[in-house]
Amino acid sequence: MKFRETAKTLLFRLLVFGLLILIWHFLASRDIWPEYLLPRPLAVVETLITRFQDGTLLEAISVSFRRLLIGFGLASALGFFLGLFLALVPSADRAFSPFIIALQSVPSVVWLPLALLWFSLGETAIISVIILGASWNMVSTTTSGLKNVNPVFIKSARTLGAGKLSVFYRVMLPAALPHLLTGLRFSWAFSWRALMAGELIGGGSGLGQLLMWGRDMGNMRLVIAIIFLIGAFGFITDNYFFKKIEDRVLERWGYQSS
Amino acid sequence: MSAISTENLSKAYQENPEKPVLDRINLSIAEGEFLTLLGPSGCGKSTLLHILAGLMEPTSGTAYCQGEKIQGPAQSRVLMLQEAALFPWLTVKSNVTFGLKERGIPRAEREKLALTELKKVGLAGTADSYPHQLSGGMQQRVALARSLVLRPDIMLMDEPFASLDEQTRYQLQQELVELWQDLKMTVVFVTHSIREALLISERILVMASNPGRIKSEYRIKSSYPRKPGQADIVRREEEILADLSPSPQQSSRYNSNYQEVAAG
Repeated sequence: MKFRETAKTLLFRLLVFGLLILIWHFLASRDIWPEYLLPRPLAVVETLITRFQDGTLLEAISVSFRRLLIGFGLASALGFFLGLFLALVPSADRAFSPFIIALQSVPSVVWLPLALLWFSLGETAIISVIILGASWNMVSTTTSGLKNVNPVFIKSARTLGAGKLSVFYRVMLPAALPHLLTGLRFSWAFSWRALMAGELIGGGSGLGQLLMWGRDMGNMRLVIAIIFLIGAFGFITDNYFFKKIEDRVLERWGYQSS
Repeated sequence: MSAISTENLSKAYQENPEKPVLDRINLSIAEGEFLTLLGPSGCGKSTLLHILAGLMEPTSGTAYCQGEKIQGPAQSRVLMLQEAALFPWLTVKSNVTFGLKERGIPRAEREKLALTELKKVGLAGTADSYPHQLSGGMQQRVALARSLVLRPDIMLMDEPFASLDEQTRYQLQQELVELWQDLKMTVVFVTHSIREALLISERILVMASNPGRIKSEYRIKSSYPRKPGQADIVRREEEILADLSPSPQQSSRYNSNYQEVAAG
């Protein structure tokens, strides 16, 4: 039953995807726009294949991926510990929470001019943009996750003999885990966006820079191919990595029927 | 020496210091006694139990456990809540060993003790299940095992069976009485169900609200196991019901109000 549902969803998705490609192909073949502005889907696929074969894409992806992992790791760790601090010290939370919310609503690309001035072009600038773009969300999910642990769990643990430290790491952390995972998932998406923004303007090889280079060369096939890769990468990591872990935890925690 | 006693114990919440939820409670519970605090919601019975558990501090007065002032929770004085509150990320077995791990008992021994305890509540087969796979009654049984495995001297129970269906509830009441007789512990049970109080307790303290206080005391001498339809139980039920009902003065006021509305 469940397998059939999944197969059905997959089929629908493929249909929609195919339909979109068809419309694209149709529009591109009508000579409304010149080929270098709107290439056909097949031409984009061709570019993807040749660029993978000559190694350009793989190199760009690995450079970007490395930055992403470093930036995401630092952002989540920083966000987690700051969030933890705010959850444990309510007065600090009251004082800082408006700033966290304000910082959260600043798009990461806005930090770029500052980062470029402070760190000049290069890895540090791009990674600091990721950190500035992805940490704040992790701060607030960590704080709210820890603060919203069902008090009944804490009461039970204390009456069963758990001390403060024990209550924290045996009850509060696992109880907040679903929240923390959602926070990580969003931080990942924010990191990815911040990375692309950083690479478009900040330079250094990487997917974003390759995209900019394509634009400068008037090579829209490459630009579209990279946009496609960026989307696909985001979809795959979210849907097949983060969401899978999240679903499993939610199921185990009993928040979702299995 | 009494297992639990209180001396002029009062509790008012910060938000409402003028209206205490508990007003000068004095009680003494004997070692091995099964005592029930019975009263309408809002009479402070649950607050009193939380203070006895050491999870809350009284505003004034003192609570004692075996002669010593209660200053925080202890494994010898476990509180069970209306929600089973099993940790959903742990298996049933790991839930039961939760307190034992705090004691530093080695894993193998912990698990052996947990399985023995689960067998006692008839759930040995679910050791490796997760809480959400169990029914409400089974969850509450696991919670019972999780508390009992610590061999507490005193079990504090805050309406633990209130959210269960009638049949499961009756079953668990009988099992609790058997476990109490078997383990010779002191039980302080909180409920708003007169029948439940009568089926399980040796002594009932009826509480009244505004402010929360102990209004009257009943000793139930009927032998266990008791059945709901038993003549003496039914008689006591009526007696306590009359005791819990609003005073004649109040009810006449309600009546006249009702008539006014009806006339208008």
